[in-house]
Amino acid sequence: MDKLNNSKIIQKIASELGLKRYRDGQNAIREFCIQEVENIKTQFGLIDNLSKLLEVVSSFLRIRFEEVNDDNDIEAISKKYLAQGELKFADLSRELDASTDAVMICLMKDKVWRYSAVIDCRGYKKFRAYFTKWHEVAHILTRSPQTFLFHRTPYFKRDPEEILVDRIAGDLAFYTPLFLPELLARTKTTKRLTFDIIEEIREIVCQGASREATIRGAISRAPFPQLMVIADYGLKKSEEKELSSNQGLLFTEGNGQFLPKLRAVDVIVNKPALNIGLWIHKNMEVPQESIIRKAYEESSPNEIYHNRENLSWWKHSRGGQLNNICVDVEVTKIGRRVYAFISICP
Amino acid sequence: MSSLGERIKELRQSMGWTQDRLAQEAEISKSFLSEIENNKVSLSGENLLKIANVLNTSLDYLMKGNYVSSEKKPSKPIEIPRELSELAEDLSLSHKATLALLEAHNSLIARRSDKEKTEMTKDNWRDLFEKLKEYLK
Repeated sequence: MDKLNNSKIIQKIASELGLKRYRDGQNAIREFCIQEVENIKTQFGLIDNLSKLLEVVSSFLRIRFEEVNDDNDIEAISKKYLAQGELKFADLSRELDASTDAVMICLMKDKVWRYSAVIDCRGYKKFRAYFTKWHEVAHILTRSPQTFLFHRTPYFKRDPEEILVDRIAGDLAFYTPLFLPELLARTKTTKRLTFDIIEEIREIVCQGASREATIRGAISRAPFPQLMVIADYGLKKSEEKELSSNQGLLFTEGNGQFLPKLRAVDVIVNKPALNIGLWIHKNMEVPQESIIRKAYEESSPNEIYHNRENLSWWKHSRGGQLNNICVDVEVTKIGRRVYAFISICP
Repeated sequence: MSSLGERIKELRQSMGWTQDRLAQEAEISKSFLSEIENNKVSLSGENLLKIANVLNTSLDYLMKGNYVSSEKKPSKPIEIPRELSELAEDLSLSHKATLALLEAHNSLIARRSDKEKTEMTKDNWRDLFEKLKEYLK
């Protein structure tokens, strides 16, 4: 069972929303939020893409987004709201620090808008802006009048409430009734995801979403087995632990024992893949013969390589190998990382 | 309660816009806007969204006509944190100013951050007061 279901705060949110399934609070809340969005969509009428869905849902919930693209924007936003008597904005530059993606402020004077969600789009954070906006929408969907009575401000990304809200944002950012038909149409013949397909889906249905977010949304909804590995140089978990202890630092001095290797630093997989054993453990070393290694070392950014490989090439550090499954691998380098779609051979 | 057309007209006039201006901004014809304001036609979601955006208003207000309810001012006993209380005493802040500081702080309802929440210290309250004092007069 998902640990989130045992969280008292999740059960409390479910109870505040009047949901009876408090033992399965997480799913009950997620379904509740999807239903709320469905209700808004029904009231509005035709919506054909996810950016418009975001615009409509946030406007129905009276959330006004403010984007911060540079430091001057913070000053301008603060000034604008302070002139309207919204005092919290005097502190905006401190609240929106480097570790913060967004803040949601309840407006005290405005009669038409209830919230202002200030989204940090500076630097790399702009790639997360679409998802962050849905995250803020999810916060409001999970709030009930009781939440306002018993003031609770979630902050930290690893708080149970934040994890839940992230999952709701994942549900809504790639809202299945809009996203799945495009996904199915584009993969009808391939029965696998490719980088081109991801770009086509983005272009049509979710222009605001980042490539990585779209990949995650597509993998989780694909009806066929699909795996993605993100490869970069890194240490094994045990090596990282040892290095972070004094003993480890002493142990490695001079002999360079813990050399980073090209590993699967992140793995995204769906249920159909898990069901047939298409799975690579996080942090496994990338096989020498894999195209992933070649792409990391030789390719230019955004060049796409293909190869037919076998999952059994992936070896555990303590011996043993993964399942004997013939796989098609499509890779591309984004920044310093290599992204690899791994699918079953036809 | 006013109708949708009346709300659009009221918002347009409060911005000092003519029908020509709103029709142009929302990319609809002036005659259609006139019919909308006189409740002679129903409006598609698409056009409603365009109008809401240019009038800088929410769809919820435009469709329902309700102003933000009193939910953000719940009738719960107000608890002033000890650190704020101490600062208020040090600076001889009025009760009204102290509550305004607390309300400003509490109006932050969510923050997506990599770092854990830290409780407000007396110094943090002082910083907030310094930033807000000109607005508290």
